[in-house]
Amino acid sequence: MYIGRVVNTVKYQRRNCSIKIEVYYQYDYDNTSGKIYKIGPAPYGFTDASMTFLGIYGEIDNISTQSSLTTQYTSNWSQTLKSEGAATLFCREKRTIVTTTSGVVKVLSGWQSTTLTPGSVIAGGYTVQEAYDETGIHQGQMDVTIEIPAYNYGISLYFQVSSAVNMTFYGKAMD
Amino acid sequence: MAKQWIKFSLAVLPILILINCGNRQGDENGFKVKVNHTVFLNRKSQWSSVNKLKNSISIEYLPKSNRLIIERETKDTLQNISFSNEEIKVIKKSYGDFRFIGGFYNSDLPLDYSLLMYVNTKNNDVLQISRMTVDEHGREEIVGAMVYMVDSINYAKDFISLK
Repeated sequence: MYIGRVVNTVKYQRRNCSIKIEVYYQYDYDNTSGKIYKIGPAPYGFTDASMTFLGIYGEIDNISTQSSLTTQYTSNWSQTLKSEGAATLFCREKRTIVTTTSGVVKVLSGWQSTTLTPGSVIAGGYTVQEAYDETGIHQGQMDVTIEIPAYNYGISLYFQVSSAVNMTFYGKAMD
Repeated sequence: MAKQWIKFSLAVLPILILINCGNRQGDENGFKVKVNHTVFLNRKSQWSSVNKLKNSISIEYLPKSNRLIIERETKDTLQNISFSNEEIKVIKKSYGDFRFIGGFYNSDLPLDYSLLMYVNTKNNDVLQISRMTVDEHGREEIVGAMVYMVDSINYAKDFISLK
């Protein structure tokens, strides 16, 4: 049993932040012939997808991923093997939005609005005007297709992978 | 000699005044203002008391390059957002004497935040409306407002409300 992965990165428009998404799949091959005879989702107990965040302010939690790749077996060496499906992705980002008296908006990791009373001074010499907790929601989907072209003797393992990812982000103020 | 000087001054003075009018802040050439007071409208539609700032804030609008430069504790350059036709239809174009100049974001703002900026050309005050994306379809909601004021009287509370 071998594990492969499909990697894609989504970059949010307007902002300098991105998410690297990896979707895992499983394949099996015959040692003597080198022929791959099975391809499908990551086996039970393995992570089926993961997200890595770059340039995100908040504290990430509640990551939930689920992939639904199809499984295909073959004993026919001239048949192309194909697995396709999608991974759904969701996570929460906990952060505190601080507005300062000069109008600067600061984002702090985690929920800490209760410690930031109006009039208190934070790093950088900013005076707090208002602070409140917010939950940001990242959600989306990555479509994946993995193909192993019909086998030819002498050709090493060759995966044709394509993927498309779409993520949205929105916030929810906490009261 | 003195008489000639007076004559010359009388001739030049109106020209200077005309040039000055041509450069009036708030017109198509953009503007630059210095403000000493801020006041905030929070999400529950309550106005704060007026803050008197120790260091004045300078706001410069450059319409040709679609930028807004705000100098306060640090210097921020806000980039203009290009709106779709649907988006621009739902944006309120004026609040009292405040006229809409554009939407902005910068890299320090949270991902789901953008700012709508308005300028009152009568007294060079600037209104900033904060918007937040509230669902996966990209629906925007106004979550707060603030006014950068030269003077210390919150006249905006009479006509700006989030509810």
